[in-house]
Amino acid sequence: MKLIETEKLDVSLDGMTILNDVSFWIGKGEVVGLVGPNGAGKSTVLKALIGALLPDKGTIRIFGKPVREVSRRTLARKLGYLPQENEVHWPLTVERVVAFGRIPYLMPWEGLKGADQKIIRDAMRATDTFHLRHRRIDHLAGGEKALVMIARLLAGEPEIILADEPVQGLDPAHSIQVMEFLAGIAENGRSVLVVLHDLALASRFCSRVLLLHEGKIAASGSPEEVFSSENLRSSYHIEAKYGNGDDFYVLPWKRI
Amino acid sequence: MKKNTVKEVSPFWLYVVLGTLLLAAFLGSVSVGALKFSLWDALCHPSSGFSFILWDIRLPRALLGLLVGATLGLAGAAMQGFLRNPLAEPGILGVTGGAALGAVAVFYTGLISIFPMMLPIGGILGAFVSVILLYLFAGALAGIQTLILAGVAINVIAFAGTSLMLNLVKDPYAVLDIVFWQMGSLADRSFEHVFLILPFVLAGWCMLLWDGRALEALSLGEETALSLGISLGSLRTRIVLGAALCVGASVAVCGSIGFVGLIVPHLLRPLVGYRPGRLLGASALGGAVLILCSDIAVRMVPSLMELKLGVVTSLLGAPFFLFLIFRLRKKIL
Repeated sequence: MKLIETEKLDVSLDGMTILNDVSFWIGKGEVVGLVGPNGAGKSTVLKALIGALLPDKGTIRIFGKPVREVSRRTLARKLGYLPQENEVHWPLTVERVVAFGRIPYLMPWEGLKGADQKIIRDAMRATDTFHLRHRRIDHLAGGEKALVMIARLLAGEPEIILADEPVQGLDPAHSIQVMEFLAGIAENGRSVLVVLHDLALASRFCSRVLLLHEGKIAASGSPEEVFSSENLRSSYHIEAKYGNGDDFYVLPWKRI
Repeated sequence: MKKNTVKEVSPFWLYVVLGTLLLAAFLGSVSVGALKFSLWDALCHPSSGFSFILWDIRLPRALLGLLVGATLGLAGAAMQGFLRNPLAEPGILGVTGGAALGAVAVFYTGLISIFPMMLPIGGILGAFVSVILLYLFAGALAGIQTLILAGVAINVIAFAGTSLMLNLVKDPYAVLDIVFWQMGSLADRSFEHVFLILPFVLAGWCMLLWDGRALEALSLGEETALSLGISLGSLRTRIVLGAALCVGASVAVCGSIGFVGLIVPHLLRPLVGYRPGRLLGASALGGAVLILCSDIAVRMVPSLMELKLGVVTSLLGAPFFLFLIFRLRKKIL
């Protein structure tokens, strides 16, 4: 089942074409990696999916329905978005930030109900952040903050998660932890589209990879297919070393 | 050691305390004045002079203080939440400047001597013109920085216009009237003023209070707020128009009263756990308390002339601003 499908998507910003003829789909239970060099248009794909950027051409379908026909509130309940910068403008508590995940379910005058509180607590327990709930978000370490943001996503109970470089600035242990959470979410029947710069993580955790180059999908398929030496050479201008035992992995090695 | 946790005061107790303070300040405001008499006497003798003073002079003054104070506190909190900037104040997008220019134009053209209520009407019209200019300058889809810059431009234009009128006015008494009016005051206002601004103020309050949850979502950034189902275009329209309605109407009747919209949200923010949504109602109550107390101070401080309310709030605000700077400096060090 295709949860998200884009067809011939064109997006431009200030007259400059960012995405050109981008078509892809994401199925249920998949972790799809969106990779590509800087400026390839990866974040733009995510922004177009959440409606922050309007495409010039092409269609986006969510659960088979054109996105224009889906109300903003319904879209907010189905899609969970994790931006590149984990910005929080006020020194709010962790619990409060996680509670923001319930906003799509509440009317402006409604407060959190018992069921919402339980979902929020469960989201914090699932991400091992419950003990941080009274801490100020601006006083957390990078790894802790990244997990809190995932808890915020979980509290929204989205069926599709769009994560823009969720491991940016994290040490290897925290990067793996965040990716394990995302993979675990997909195992529960949800889908994840994750923008990654770390090709090793992408090859390890993604069931499918989309390689974006200069606004176009240059390759898509399994990590083995997409991270071929030709593709890495033409898109990233690098050579890589490969691990081909039971687990496939790719290690960027040198520039060419 | 850095304080790692946030202690929120229970909203119930916060509203009880602020509500009690407001009631006390309101009663204080109707009890204080040049003539000393007990409220009981005035209420028991409806045909007495005391009763006239209570109902026709002090009550509208206190009610206006409540409306204007709550407006400034609420609009300040809404602007700070919307612009995600703790130094934002209600007039940052040019509404205060526009309203002041509209009111000064009424003085300048002499319309005030023909029909005194033209003064607040001119102010309200000025506020609306400033909103139209804001949208013309910044465009319908403007980002925060463009909005602030457009607001700065409107404030500069309004200040230039006000100065030009002051410069060109021939009657020296009119100059005095304009200068005193600009200092902000609640003195000599009637129920006519209260009823004139009430619909604008209430409409503005509703628009701003509606946005509490959207402002909370916005604390995670615009794109995340959008992904949480918040329509940023509608939010911007409600905040700009809501602030224009209530702040414009308040400035139109009472002149420019500075710093309340900056100080009150600042003082109350830690008590609501830094939540921009919950800050709205608390700041409205806090703003009303501060204006009513300042207006009591205006009448109690012995001086040859009654001090202007805007002067008192500025005298309170300036040291507070310095305190903010020192705290910021300490954080950086």
